Amino acid sequence: MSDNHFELINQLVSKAQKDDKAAMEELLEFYSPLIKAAIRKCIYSDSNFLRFKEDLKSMVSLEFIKLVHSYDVSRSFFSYYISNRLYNNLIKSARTLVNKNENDLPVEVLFCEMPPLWDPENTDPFGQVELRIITLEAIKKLDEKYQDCINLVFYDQLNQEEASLKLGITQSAFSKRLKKSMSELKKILINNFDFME
Amino acid sequence: MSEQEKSFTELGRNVLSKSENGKRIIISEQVDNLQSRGFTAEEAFDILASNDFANLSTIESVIGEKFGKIASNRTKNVKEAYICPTSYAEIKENVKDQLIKLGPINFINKLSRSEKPLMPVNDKSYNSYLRLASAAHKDPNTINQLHTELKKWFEEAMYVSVCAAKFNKNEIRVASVNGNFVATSGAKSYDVNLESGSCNCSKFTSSHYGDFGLACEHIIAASNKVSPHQRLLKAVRESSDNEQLEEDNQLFNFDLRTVMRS
Repeated sequence: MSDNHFELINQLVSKAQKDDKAAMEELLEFYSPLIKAAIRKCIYSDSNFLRFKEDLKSMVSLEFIKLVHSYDVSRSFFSYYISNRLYNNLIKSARTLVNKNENDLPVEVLFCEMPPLWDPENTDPFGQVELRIITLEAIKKLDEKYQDCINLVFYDQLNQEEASLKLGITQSAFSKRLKKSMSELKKILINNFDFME
Repeated sequence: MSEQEKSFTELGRNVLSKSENGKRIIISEQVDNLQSRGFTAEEAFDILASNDFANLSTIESVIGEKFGKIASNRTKNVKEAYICPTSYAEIKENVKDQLIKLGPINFINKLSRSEKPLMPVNDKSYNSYLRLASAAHKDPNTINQLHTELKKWFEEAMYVSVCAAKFNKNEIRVASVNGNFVATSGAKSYDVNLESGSCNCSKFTSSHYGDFGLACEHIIAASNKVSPHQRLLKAVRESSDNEQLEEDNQLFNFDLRTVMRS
């Protein structure tokens, strides 16, 4: 899929339009970063959608399949086409779903822990900008001693021996603290869905 | 290796990894293997450390023993994540510079008539892009119209690169070698330089990705490897896997003892 991608993608789309299941599966797998970005944008735009995360996953695949069938293969920018339409189509379907289940919503709506810097319209399919914001924000929520552990190992790139010397603790104490930092960080990050999947 | 042998090896490794000496034996075996395949101390450290962040000091000391030098003398490159362009807005200036530098004909030829063109367009579209580029070249105020028309092609290339970097079938693996990176995909390998954002793959060179500030899938894969955020995320994922493994082992030990008592 790396060389002559226009041709390869068009071939796959043509096959998928003729109900070739394997081609459709390959497209779904190849475009999973764009598909995940659409789900993230959707959830970040309205925390009510977090309740329907599993439904969104099925809905996004369905919307993707619809878009494959509506695409004109004489054009050569399928990825751009998908990226621009998938989120808009998904959010429409998601709103319908939320409206249908409005009565089931709890009084206190689930809070999606998003950093205030977040701008759903600029969610990028690479996830790199989001990941940077999310990891840095998540680290800030840890106790200071856990923050130090993570910063020394991952951002200052010290080994455990050097980091423990810097903190004035034994290497084994540092190792335990780092392990605890990881599990605390995981608890925070797990709320940010597909980055942990 | 048969399935049974594999499971015995795995079991042996699990048991060994529970003690410091056991970990050292496993790491020592891995270092021997890398040394016999011609990797340097620095390369061996990078490969092992990227998969086993929890035992960095053991890895370092084993490498020091095997290679006869202390690996901790390595230079530490603290790098913020290399940011690949994610939208056309980020490469707009490169596009404008290329238009000014090359002139409208060479600019459109570079985009649409190269070996692997970024814009595979027919003659009719070629002429209309050429008209837009000529107008933008003469009057910079009209460049926005050209940007609007070019955006879809450049974003298409960006999306394909990021999807290809993460596509399992491409199996892109990245190793750090002397400050640069080697990305292998199948039997092919490519040199990636993150400082200059360049790669020697045919897509990057033939489609002039570098001139327009675009990143190929190999650059994206390498930037993910070097990103402290990605490394942290990987470590968090792995630490939870290890916790699961420990729980599984405890369960296994409990069952074994119960069976033995009975």
